[in-house]
Amino acid sequence: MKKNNISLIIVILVGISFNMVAQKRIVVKGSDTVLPLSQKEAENYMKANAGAGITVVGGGSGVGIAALIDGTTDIAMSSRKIKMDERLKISDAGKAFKEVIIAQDALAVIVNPGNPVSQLTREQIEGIFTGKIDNWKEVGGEDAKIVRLARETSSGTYEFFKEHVLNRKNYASSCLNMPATGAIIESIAKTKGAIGYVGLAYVEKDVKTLGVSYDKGKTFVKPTLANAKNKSYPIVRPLFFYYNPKVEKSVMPFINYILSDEGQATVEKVGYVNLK
Amino acid sequence: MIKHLFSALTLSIFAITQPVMAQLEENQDTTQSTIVKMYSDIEAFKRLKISGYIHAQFQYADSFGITSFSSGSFPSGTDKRFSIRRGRVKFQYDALANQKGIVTSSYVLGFDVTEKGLLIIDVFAKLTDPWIGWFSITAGKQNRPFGFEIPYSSSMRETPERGRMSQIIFPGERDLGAMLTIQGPKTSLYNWIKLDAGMFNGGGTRGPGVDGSEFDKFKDFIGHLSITRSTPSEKIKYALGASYYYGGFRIDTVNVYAVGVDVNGVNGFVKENSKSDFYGVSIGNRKEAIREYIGFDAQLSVDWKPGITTIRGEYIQGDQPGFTPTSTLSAAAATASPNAANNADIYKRPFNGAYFYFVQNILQTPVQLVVKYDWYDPNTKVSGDDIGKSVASSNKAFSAADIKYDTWGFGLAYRWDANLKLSAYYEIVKNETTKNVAADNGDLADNVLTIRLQVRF
Repeated sequence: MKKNNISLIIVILVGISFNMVAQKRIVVKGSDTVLPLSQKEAENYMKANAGAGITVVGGGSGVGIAALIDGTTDIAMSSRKIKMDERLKISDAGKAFKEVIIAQDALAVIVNPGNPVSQLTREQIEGIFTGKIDNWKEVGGEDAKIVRLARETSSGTYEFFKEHVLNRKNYASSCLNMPATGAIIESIAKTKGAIGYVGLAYVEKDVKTLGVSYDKGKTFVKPTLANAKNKSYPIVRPLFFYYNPKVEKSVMPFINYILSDEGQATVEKVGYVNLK
Repeated sequence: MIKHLFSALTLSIFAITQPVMAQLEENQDTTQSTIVKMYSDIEAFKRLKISGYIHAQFQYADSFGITSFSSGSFPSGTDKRFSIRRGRVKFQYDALANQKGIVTSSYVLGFDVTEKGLLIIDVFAKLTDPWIGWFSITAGKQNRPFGFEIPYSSSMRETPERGRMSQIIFPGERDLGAMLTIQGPKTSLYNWIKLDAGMFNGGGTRGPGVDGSEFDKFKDFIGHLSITRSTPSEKIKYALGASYYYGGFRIDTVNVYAVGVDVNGVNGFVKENSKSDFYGVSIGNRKEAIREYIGFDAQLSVDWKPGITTIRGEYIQGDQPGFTPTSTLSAAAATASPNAANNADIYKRPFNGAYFYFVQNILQTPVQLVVKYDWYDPNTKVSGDDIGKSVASSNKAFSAADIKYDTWGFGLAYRWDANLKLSAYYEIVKNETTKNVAADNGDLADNVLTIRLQVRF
């Protein structure tokens, strides 16, 4: 009887440890832009793969890549390309990295629904965010002060917008740096004179998207999935996963799932532009 | 009846659950306030950063008791040694960022703990303007803002030590002073340009017992203007800088010599001032022996197929007043910047020097190769057999302190992870030869192999 009990305990312990090994969780950390997509993909992946465990955490692209360097994440999510300083740090840590584009994101310029302005040229957007344009009447709107909202400096979205929309020019010092996309949506919904930018997936009915022209006002294109996909909408960027090749075996099934037809269908459902 | 029963049941359930709900709500409030407190504690704790690294190493020199700039000279009769070259611990506390995201003050305290004892390396406070975040003042014991190699951390450097010139003209790298930094915050269009300019005691802090305390009334100016840019692809990063140093130390009642030609047409040190010129001059009114340097530095990193390649270089030239070797002052120390009053004759020397690094990461592996070349010519107006040649009695001959050195270094590093690095580095030191200085009539056997383990946290 005693012998049987010991055997039973051993079997249970072996079972528990086997289960723990089998269920080693993959940690995915970084960009708040990529966060909702990764969460949904992870949710679907775990439903389809009973033993799989994935933890998805935000914080910003810079935070994700820093975590990849110190080994506290398996995958870094990023809404911008990895920087040279980060490449050097990864190399200094004796590590390597691989880059995968998992989807595209259209960045929408948004205002309060009560704002009569419905379209802006790239030059006007640049003027607004760099502080040269201070009043809505200068771009065909009401006589009201412009309240500029941007993401935090650690955000990949912040940098992408500066690089591709502001032509690498500096944000105005009066720009309010919001800690998350949700905060931008919320503030714009409450403030009539506010303007900001968010990933298309975050757009809600409380805010209004603006048509954007990259040909000095000849054509204005609305930020929609269709326009982003047919490349007529100009503010589109790739979304990245970065991982250490050493963990390739454990992370690739999840990455391959995102790149599959099923995963890419989720990309579109969540509001991003798929790669298909 | 059923209706009554239902009402009674509802009342009973309410009576039972109401205190439970109240308790739950109370618990929730307690949990929430505990979480808020924990969050604020963690935030406060996150503002205190502790970092450091240890350099444990084994060295093998070409011969016994050599004078070396590879972690210091070897004791007489010794050609192999284990040592803790550096044992650094740094505490940094950043104040809470203001509403504009500007950290308006930081405090740093850094120690070096080795077999030689405990040394305070850094003690400074950095204050940043709270309005635009462009202007900072750093006051205390800190790195001197000259060039690239001086302020660059030893934990990041690919070679065991800085070049010979850097060690001689800026011993200990740090000094006591106050520095103004002008640089736009990361969000600024002009973040790529930076100006550091400060006034320092000038003596430097080179080791135990040398604390950087002032010994004369003269303060030294150091400035560095630099730009750092990356290409939009983030695969190329480059930086350029220019540095300037103007300062010096007090000339006590001593003779002052400068390079010249004696009555027989022989190059040597000619007396510029006799000690008698300074008789009766009070200590507060004495002149300054001028140290003046100008430097240019450049760095380039490229991520391409073979792996990341980094090339760095810096050239410095200037005037360095120093001394001449004696039984207690080595040739190398004779041209080093002094850190205390030294009642010895002063010798003014025009010098130049440079270093170049070539660093290649092998693909995306943990292996890294480094090749470094540096030279230091402590006296550019003399070379070869003119060194040590006899001069007229009123003048002084050039000495071993005027010998030029070229150093080649070859290294291989294995970066285990973010914390651990193992490296091997072989340094080939070539000295200028002269038949007139017995010790330098051939190349000295002073090459050094360094095997180093770096643990960083």
